[in-house]
Amino acid sequence: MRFMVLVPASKESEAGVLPDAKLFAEMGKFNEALVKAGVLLAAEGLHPTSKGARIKFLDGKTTVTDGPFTESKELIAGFWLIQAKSMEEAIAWMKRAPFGGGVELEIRQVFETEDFGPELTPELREQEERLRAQVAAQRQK
Amino acid sequence: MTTTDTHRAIEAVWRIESAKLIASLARIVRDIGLAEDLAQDALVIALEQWPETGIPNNPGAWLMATAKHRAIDRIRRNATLERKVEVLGRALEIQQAMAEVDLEAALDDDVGDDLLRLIFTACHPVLSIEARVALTLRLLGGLTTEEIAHAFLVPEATVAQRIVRAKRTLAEARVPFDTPRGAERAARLSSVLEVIYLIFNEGYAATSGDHWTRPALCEDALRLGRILAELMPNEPEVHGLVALMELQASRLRARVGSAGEPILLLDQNRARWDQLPNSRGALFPALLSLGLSAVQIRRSSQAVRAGAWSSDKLVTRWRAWVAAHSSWQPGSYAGYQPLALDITTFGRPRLHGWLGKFFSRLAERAVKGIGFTLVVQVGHCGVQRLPLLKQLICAHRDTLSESQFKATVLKTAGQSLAAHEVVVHDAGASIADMQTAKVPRYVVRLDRNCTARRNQLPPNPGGQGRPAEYGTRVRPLARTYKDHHLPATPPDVTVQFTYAGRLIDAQG
Repeated sequence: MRFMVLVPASKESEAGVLPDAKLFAEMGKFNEALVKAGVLLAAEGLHPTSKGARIKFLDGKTTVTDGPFTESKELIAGFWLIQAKSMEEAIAWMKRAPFGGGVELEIRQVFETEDFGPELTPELREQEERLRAQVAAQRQK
Repeated sequence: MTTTDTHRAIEAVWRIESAKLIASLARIVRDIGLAEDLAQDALVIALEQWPETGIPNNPGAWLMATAKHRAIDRIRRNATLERKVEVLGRALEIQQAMAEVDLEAALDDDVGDDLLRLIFTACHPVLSIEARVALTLRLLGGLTTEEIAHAFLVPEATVAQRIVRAKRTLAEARVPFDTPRGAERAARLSSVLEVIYLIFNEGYAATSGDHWTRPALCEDALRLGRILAELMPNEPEVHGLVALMELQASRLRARVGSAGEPILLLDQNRARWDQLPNSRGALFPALLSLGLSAVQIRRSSQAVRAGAWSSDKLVTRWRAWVAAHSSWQPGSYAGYQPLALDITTFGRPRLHGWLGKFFSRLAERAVKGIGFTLVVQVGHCGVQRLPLLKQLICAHRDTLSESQFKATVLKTAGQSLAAHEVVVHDAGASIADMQTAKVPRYVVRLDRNCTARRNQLPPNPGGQGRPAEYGTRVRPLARTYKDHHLPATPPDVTVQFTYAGRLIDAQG
């Protein structure tokens, strides 16, 4: 199973202040441990929202708003994508992350193909769709 | 937290820490059976104490310290164990080593070497392949006996017996707990890779069927492969295996709502209209079903890699294997025979940042290690896709960059194209690449909705015809299929007709 771990933004990350060398080093060690254990799939940091944009979809129109955005509590500064057998294992891994000062990580499970149902192989899916079209055509008659 | 929650959390920590713990203990006691017993003792104590005290901040260090204390206790109290340890001839030495071991050092510096020793020992060729797989999944994957039994659909008792016998065999054969060097290293490494790929294929082949119960096995194999790649970064074979598994696993994920479906749904048997990457995953089970063993298949690809076989020999052998199965049918598309190119080396995602550079370096090394590209005729044996090897293209990767290599491969493939053959285009090589390499004929697989893609229409003699502008809709041309003429249709129109008693849709 894959899990995405979201790192919340803070005033410092929004101001574009990079973390100090010590935190970088510890984060590097933590990421290295994840890589060595074969569980890290991706890990990235995101630029602050001053460089970001939002697109709103309403009534067939799209509206683009440029950053920066307020409510820094709900903004994201970075993410990990890790592979684990269960939520408990993902939690056990992320407990070792070198954060402090009240940072709260969010861990979410990624949808896998199995979650969409075991029967939907592409062949069966097409067959399903064709049958449905046939039945609909018959009903119209 | 309820007790079951805590137990699940402890089990999760165990899965993370057990391999390193067993490896460190095995280095000290020189016997992986004894090491596993000691590790299990520590787990039992953890299950007793941690629900009360909470999970410690450094669980690995806690488990190692506990295992060490238990070992000293057991050696002192248990006479039979002491005798066994004396037979190993190292009782006092072990006690001293236990007392002296520096926990932090043992966990950080040497643990990588110990893990590698554990991997090589668990995959020792003196054990049968089933024993190796069971022992590896147990000691390195942290799976319980029940999980292994469920994964391979054998009774739990069988798996337990296999593991017990495997440990006994290793002890009786006095297999040293060490990494192999020199002449035997290549053979021992291939034995390890065989185990990992077998685990992966078991999970992959199972999910090619109707049930999806075993993608977890693919994940286990991938994790083991990545760990091994970290421990042996200079071995191209390891990186090649991880690259192959990642490619196949990504196909696994993309199967629902798959991209790249052919726009012509003329033939319901999709096995006919397929490309090598999908076939490669099916190649091994297909060859297995032809009666070749996994060992034979791996040996032949190794033989090519080691230069022991010429590429001609591989091509002839491959054709012989496939011809032995008389029901092999070549694929066909609009009167042409499609040829697929092995795209393991192409189409790598471009990652950014320090992690991207790290992965790109690994992938670069993997590319250098693989050594050849396959050009295959698409075909099938009944329902099973089975490509027929037509050509092996080797290029000196050390001197070429990736784009130069791609251009060389496409040029060579294009030059040897017969009049009735056509190259299949996939995400790995773009249309621009095909045109630069002057491939005479290539076919493009279109998405169901053709907007916003740069496409050329099939079959396209390279360089002729107008390429579509980026963002325009592409309309299929008029074409003929088995005496039925299909006019050029506007999109979203389906022409239906009956052929040989089957209702066939042609969509445009």
